[in-house]
Amino acid sequence: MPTHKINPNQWINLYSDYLFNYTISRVNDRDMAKDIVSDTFLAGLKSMKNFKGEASERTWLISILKRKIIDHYRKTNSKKGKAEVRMSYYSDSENEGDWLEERVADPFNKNAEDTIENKELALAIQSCLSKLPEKQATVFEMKTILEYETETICNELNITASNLWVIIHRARTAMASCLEKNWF
Amino acid sequence: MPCTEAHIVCDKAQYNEATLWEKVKMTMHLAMCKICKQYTKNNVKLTKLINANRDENFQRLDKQSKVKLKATFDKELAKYSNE
Repeated sequence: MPTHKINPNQWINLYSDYLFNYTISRVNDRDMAKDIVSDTFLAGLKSMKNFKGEASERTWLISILKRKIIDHYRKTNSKKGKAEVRMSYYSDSENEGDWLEERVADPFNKNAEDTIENKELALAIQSCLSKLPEKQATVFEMKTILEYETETICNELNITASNLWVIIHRARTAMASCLEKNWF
Repeated sequence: MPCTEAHIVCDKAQYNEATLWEKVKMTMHLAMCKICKQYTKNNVKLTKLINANRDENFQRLDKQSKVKLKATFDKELAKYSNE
């Protein structure tokens, strides 16, 4: 089994968008998500020596991130009882409020059907991605969703360009047939 | 051009990374190969789906926060590289 190396110098460039997107879809608060991502990177640095190289760097960082998100939920949950007392409703700006209703996404800013369809598509893509072998998923995601340059991916994963295109081809074929079943 | 190559060029074209010559050769191949034509059709569909989804749902860090994050991180990283 190939072992993965750890190189924190590239973390922010390579993974910050990915981790942020992952977090925001679960936390729904940009500032909070930023803090969590930052915490995750710092925690990763701290436990760098525990990195065994069994999983890719990204998977490893995600596992730290997941724990941070759970911690966040725990914290907000223990504050719940106080929320009604601590009314900072119009304190700093018009849009900021502590009421739960204010925090959930506005369901009327878009055509409801569109939103549902988009959500379903996102889920379908995610579930198809998770069925790919890890390497294919990583390359496909970096190339297609995060839009990294071919060269960057090649350097980072230590593969040649033709190697990359073969992996992309396999991933695309699998994604297309998976989405065909679940979406088209 | 064999089918396998046509597929790869078609993939590259999805990321705008196919050269003009590659595209010309692929077009010629597509004119006579049904299988590759179908593949191209599906491939374009996949690109459209993914792009629509990405623009809709993928959230990035804004530049400013990224710079800030990097500064905090580098400061911490320096401590570790000194050890």
